[in-house]
Amino acid sequence: MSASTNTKPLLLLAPSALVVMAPFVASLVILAAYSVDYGPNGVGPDLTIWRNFLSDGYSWSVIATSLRLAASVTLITLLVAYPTACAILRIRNPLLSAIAYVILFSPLLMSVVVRSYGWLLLLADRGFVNSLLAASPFGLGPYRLIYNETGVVIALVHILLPFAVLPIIGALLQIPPIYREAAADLGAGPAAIVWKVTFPLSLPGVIVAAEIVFALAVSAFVTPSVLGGGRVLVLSRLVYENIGNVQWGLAAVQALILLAIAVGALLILERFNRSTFAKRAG
Amino acid sequence: MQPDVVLSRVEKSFAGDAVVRGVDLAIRRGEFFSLLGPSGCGKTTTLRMIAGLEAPTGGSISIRGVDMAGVPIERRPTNLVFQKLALFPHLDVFDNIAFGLKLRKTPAPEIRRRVAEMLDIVRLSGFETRSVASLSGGQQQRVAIARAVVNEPAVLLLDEPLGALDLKLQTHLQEELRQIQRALEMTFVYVTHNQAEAMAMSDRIGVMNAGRLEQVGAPADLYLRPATRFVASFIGQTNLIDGRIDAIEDGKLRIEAGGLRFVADAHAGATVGAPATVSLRPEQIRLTKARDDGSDALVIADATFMGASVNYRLQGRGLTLLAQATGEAAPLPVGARVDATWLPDAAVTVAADGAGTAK
Ligand SMILES: Nc1ncnc2c1ncn2[C@@H]1O[C@H](COP(=O)(O)OP(=O)(O)OP(=O)(O)O)[C@@H](O)[C@H]1O
Ligand SMILES: [Mg+2]
Repeated sequence: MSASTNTKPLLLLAPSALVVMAPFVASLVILAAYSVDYGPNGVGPDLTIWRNFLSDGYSWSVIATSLRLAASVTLITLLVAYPTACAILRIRNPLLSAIAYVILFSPLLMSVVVRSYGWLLLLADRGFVNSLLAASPFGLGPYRLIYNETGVVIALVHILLPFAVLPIIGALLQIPPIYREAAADLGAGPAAIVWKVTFPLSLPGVIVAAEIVFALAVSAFVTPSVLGGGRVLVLSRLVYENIGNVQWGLAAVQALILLAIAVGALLILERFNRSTFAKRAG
Repeated sequence: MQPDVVLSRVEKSFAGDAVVRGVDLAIRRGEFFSLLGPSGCGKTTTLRMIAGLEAPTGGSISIRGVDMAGVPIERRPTNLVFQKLALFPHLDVFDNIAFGLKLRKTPAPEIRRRVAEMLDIVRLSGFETRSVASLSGGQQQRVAIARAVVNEPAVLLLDEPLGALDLKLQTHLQEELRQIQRALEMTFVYVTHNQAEAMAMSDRIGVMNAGRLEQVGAPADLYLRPATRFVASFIGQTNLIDGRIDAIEDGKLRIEAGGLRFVADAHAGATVGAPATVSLRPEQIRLTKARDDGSDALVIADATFMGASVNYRLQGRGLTLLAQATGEAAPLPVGARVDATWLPDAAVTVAADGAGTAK
């Protein structure tokens, strides 16, 4: 693309860039300032807080927990979201389709706190889920589903599902039916069409879904706090605690690392997006 | 030759709009059959019904003696070259062409060999790893042809496959397609709105108009004995002259129109005094300088020098006639008064549109 064709989209982006970027850049600057400021009577700006945090094994275990949690939530959400998106698009009856969308969005209609405590009840040792498992012909359980990562993952997948389903539906809708026709004409049955045509062509939507879900999961606070019961320590939790303890410098460092993880994941996924569709663009 | 693809009383309507009406057609095995007709006449729809992409709303289609009603697209012995190409944007040229072969678990070396062969035929060797989006329209069209032909289906359906190509490539691929079709004894159903292309390539042509099959026949048949006004004027140029049946003798009709006289083979149901339309090809008309007294002679209103021939527009007796003269030393001047003559059997009667005897 030449320079002249590039300027127009930039101009069009300007208003939203201003609204989104200005507060973002401002808070980044403030966070950065806090992270290098060593106490009220400190010796001036230096990297002591950074050094202390990064050399502590505990910090790394929290970072690992955050990453592991966000990654597994992203993966499971996508695995659930993709067939869900396909199923919703299959619904021909407009009323049923509307009902499906309402059900899909139902997690968002509830306050995050209420929802988290709801899951706590459902997943408790003698809660609904464990009773169900015990009553099943296999007599399973009881399983420990709360105050550990399992419960956090389950509750996060629940709330984040609509954020994943929507971009996938969008991508699926954008695939002209003629590609499926061509595949069928060349001998592809329904499964082969999905695997060889529909899925690869919907990858951009899947990647957008992954980006959104990962960013929301890695920075989630209420759900890990409630369902983790203080035993699942993630970065957002540390930030919260340190602000409470007036450890603003440390909180700033952790917030910046959290941001770096989210941005890093975004860049990696975008990269992947581009390489899958480099062929399409030529 | 036994019929390969049989359409009987096939109908298709979209939301009540009849798009294909009562098409009866038997395409022979190993035949190069063209469906010819103007834009919107239902060619693509007919082809898509044979491929299984569209279900007929009436009638039935069978291929090799098997009724296709319950046979899904992927199990039909057909491949379609889509008018809109439909190349897979996420696959490169090689993978697009290899798509069908891979689905049939063809061994990799054979896939490579056959794709390379096809690329050679469509003159795209070296383009294997190019993305289809980076190709020109004509190159994409050739990939689309290769993607279908490489599977060597019993019946190959082609929907205006050469539309976006320059004349030279068009001629080259016309020859190649014809050769492939003969060598593999495939049945081709070839859709085009280009009558010259259909005439040049086809064993037989079905002329479609407004969802109906007006006439089916060999190219020469259609040209020399068009059944309807539509066929006569769609294939080549012609003069359509409305007149009246003067007499019927020895199986011949004598028709009079604007003082001109024609003789044509009688058709069933012809009665003296009934209106009739004759078709007279411009090249059948001989022009001679009119005798001085000829008050009802024709006047040359327009003359176009075409190189090998001269096209004249003649006026007089309430008629406008097109005439084409070849091998003349000098064209007759505009305004000249001429007499027009033709051989007795040069004219044919044609029926009104849609009344064709397509069988
Ligand atoms: N899916 C559809 N829904 C509604 N109408 C349709 C559909 N497909 C085709 N038609 C209509 O059917 C008629 C015939 O279309 P078709 O594509 O078969 O024409 P065609 O002969 O292939 O024309 P062209 O030479 O322009 O490709 C057109 O009037 C078109 O608008
Ligand atoms: Mg068409």
